[in-house]
Amino acid sequence: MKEDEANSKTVAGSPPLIELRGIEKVYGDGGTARVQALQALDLAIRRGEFAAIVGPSGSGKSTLLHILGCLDRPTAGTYLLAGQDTSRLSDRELSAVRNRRIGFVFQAFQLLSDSTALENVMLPLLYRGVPAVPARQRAKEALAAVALEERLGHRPGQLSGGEQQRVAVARALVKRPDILLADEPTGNLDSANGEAILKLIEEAHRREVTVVLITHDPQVAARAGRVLRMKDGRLEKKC
Amino acid sequence: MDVYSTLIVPVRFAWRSLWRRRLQYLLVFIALTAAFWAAFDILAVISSVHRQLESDLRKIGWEVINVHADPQPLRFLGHRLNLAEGERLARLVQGIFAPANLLPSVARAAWAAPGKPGDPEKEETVLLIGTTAAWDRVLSMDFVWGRFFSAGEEDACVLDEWACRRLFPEGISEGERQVAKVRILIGGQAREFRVAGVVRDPFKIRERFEEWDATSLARSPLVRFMEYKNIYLPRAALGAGEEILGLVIKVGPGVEPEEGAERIRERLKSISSTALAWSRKRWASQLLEAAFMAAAVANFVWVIVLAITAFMVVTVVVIAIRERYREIAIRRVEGARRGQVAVQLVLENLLLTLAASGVGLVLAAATGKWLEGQFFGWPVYLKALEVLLVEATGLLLIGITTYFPSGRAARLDPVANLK
Repeated sequence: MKEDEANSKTVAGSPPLIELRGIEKVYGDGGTARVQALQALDLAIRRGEFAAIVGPSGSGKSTLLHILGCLDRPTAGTYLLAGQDTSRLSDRELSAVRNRRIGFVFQAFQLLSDSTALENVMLPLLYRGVPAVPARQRAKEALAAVALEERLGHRPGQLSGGEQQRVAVARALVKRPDILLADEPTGNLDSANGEAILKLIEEAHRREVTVVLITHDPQVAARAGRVLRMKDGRLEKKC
Repeated sequence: MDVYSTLIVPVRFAWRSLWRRRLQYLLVFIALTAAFWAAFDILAVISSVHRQLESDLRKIGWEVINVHADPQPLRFLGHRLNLAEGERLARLVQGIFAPANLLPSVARAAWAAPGKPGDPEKEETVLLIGTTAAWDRVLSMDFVWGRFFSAGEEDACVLDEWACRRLFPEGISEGERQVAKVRILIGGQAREFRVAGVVRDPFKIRERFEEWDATSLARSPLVRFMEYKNIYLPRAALGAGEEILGLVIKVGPGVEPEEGAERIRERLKSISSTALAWSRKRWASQLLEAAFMAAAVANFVWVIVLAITAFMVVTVVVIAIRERYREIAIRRVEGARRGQVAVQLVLENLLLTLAASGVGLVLAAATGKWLEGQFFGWPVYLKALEVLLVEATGLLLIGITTYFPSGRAARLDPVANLK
């Protein structure tokens, strides 16, 4: 398959973009409220890989994704992103990492409800310091790439679920990220829209964006070059 | 520091957010506008009164000492100065101020004005002050409609504005053409005098001011007595046996009026006289101090008004921010720094404050104009520095009070708030 070829081509011989060593995540401070979400988790994902993480609810998939996205810090262990230890980064530096290197696509879209599609896509560029005019131009191009050039001025409430998720994909990709993290991106969509979103993700992967996708759906996971199974906060086995 | 992403971008987001939530922010805007309106008006009225009072007091001349009988009713009835005593006082004072400009004054009980045909004659109790034609050395001609009388002009008089208004409610013509006459009882006999001039009310709102001065703290009864009900007559028009109410002394340059008044008081004491001596400078200073205190209280009031509004605004802001946790989380996920989020939230309120202060200023200016015409007759306005002071105070209060909930919201865990 084309995707597999692309996957193997970019992965082969490249150093890990993401490297987790002995990652643990504990919520709560002990007693019955203490929850061990991740334990002794080691993982390496190479640049250009398309990895899917599957597992039952509560297995720690989303926690892992949040740590990978620098939205959360592990309780123990080391997370190296492109060889840089993220635990040593300040909040300001982590914000810059999220802004420049990581694109996010969530199941619930997570768009600003009172902003238009164009403004939502411009958001990361403006925070990066891109002036408004080029930011607008790039956002328009990103929305055109997901076939929403006719919906620039629409707010999320005026868009269908599939269109909202395409806006979210455009917002993630407009940053030209190294990594695309997708948390159940098709979970709220019908099969046609889900398929459209997966195609956009695969297209990003072909442009050498490293993709980490969380899903319950085996058919979705099967489209990834690598499937990681999680259970009770651990990676069950590597595929 | 990257000014664009740290400041310009949050300003852009703040402006858009305000516009998108205009209905939500309307109540806050109205409250802020009302607060600024009140603050500007309080400051405008008090500072205008202060400025005008100071300006008027400077014009009337402070280098004057008044010596006169004690106007307290019991003492006034029990002991009135006579001309001989007045001349004695004059001699006492001569030693202190050379050359002294002495203006012996004569008091009579009643006077009447010839009314129009059919009008009853009007009577008022007044203070007759015998002066010389050189009286304009004491009071500036700027304060006289018409003129003072000339030397040797024994049938002319000058009314003060209060007396003029009581006698001629419809007013009299100004300047040289004044032909009104008043009949004044001197020594029980009526004599007619032409009105040569009217001394303007130096405070413009004298009567209004008296209404405010319910506690008489700003001015003593003594001062009120000296301010009101005066008719100035040529000294020669008064007979030798007439009673003297007082002297008006203009001190020379470089002489401290209060020191002079103190020396006169010592001499009055040495002759066991109950006459009073007081310097206008001291009185004017006390009046200004009272105005200054009123201004200080007013400043406190408008700051409190803004502070209470700021706390009200922050209550609304706290609730509004809670409803925006998800939005804040999305911004953080997309790379907004905590500072950018906090600055945006604070700026939303600062922009609102700026807009409200602008509207408040326009409303205050309109109210000031109305007050000017309806209430004071004084110009009611704010100086640019005073406007800036209110603006800066309002912005500071709103900035400080909204910083804490904004900063707290910016530090929230984005993961927890995306769910």
